[in-house]
Amino acid sequence: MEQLWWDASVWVALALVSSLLSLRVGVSVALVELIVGIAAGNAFHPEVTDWINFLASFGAVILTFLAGAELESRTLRRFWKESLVLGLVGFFAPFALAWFVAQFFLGWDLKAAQIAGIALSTTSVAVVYAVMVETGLNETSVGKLILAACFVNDLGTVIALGLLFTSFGRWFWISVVATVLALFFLPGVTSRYLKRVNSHPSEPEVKYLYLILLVLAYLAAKGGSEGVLPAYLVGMVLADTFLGNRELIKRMRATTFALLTPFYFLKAGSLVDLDAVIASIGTVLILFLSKSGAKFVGLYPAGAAFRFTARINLYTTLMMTTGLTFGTISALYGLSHRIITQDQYSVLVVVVILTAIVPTLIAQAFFEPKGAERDAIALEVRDKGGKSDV
Amino acid sequence: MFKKILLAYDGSEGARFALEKVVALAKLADAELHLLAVGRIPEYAETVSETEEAKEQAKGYYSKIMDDAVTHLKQQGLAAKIHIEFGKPADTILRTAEALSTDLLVLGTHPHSAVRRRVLGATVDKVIDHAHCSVLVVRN
Repeated sequence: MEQLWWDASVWVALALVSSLLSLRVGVSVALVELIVGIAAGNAFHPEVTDWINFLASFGAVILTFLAGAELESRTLRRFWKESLVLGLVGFFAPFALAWFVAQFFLGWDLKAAQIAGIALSTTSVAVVYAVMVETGLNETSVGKLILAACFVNDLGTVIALGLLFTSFGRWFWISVVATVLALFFLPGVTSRYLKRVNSHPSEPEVKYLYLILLVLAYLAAKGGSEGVLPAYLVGMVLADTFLGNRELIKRMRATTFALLTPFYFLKAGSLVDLDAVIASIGTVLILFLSKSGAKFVGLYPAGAAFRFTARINLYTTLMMTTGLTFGTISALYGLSHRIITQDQYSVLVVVVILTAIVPTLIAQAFFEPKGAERDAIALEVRDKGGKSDV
Repeated sequence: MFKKILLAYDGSEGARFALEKVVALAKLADAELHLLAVGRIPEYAETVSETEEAKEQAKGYYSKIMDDAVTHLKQQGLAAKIHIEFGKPADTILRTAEALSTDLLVLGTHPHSAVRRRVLGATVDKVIDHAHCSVLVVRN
């Protein structure tokens, strides 16, 4: 029993160090936890027990749910054409190129190469949003359009992760039916439920959501799929319900960030073998360039078709090249299901970290839309669709 | 003389000292005065709500500080426009100064260790290097 307390103390100490470092350097705690996890994993190999695996997996599911719940459905409806095109291209181009490069250039087997494709197909709504807040771009049409496209991109990633490695047996179809029914009934049922329990101190809303996500994750896992897929979809259909209930999201986020996601990101980092990364630094570079290149080749012409100016087009392309949470979730899925080796996992996680940092730095330094230029895109979008700024 | 002055203000000792100097300067030049506080938001965030919450916290924190500064200025017979923006301090100060077309940017100083200054870079250094207008650094 004392070993359990010791293990917990070590992990929570790492989580606390990450929070304090995050506070000091102004970088998201998720990225710091990943890096602290990498340092700890290579320095003293903290024990990854079953209960840590559970907390980490649950953390990934809740984090995915929260990401889905941040969808602005109104924006998606208004800019559906642009966001659908940019989102789908943003997913398929790097997915296909990274898969191709990993399989035929790096010699990874088919399924491992597919994991590489999925892990590098991602973008990050949260990273993009944080960058845009600094410039006020999140309030403009172009900002909202990019964020909506990022949602579509990430939806492609979770669908690929949820479907590509499943066996399509009986349990898979049961999980599909359960998820579809949940997606259909949850918005109405949840609204009524939230009114009925009315923010009771015993947190019945949070427990209700946990139960739904756990049951759907169980069915997805039983069907050979991945729990993050129903979690993201449930988040999306409940996004409008939560629009008027930000306090509930805040309470869920507090629980998740305090107890669940630290285990997820620390564990994801601790499994990275730095020796393997150093030995494969060329592979890291190739995969990084594959993702960045594919995003550019796919998204730039799409942006040009929508008459984006060169600067805004490059900014959009770079923003959509970012990725963090879904990239690590995909890589960890591959490792835990023995689809990829630890060396391949280590390479993928480092590439994912690089894609969170490098494109945003370049975008902010050289391609940030300014003044009349960023307003111009709002006018163009309005002219084309007769829509006003959202 | 300077007609539009922007003071980067965070309520610290260095910033309060700079405020006193700006009061004297603004009276002398009959200048329009702007106060700017910069709230940090986490880079590479996990969720959108993480950024939103950081914004709310920073806004709450700096609103009180700015209110106190405005009250102090009123007692000195001056008025100021308040700005609370979010992002990296140096970039945000430079961006706001440009947007307002200020002709003087005023900063207080914080005592930093040599290591921290070297590793993280100082806001003051960056603002001096890239500002479009004159910069006054007030040393305490």
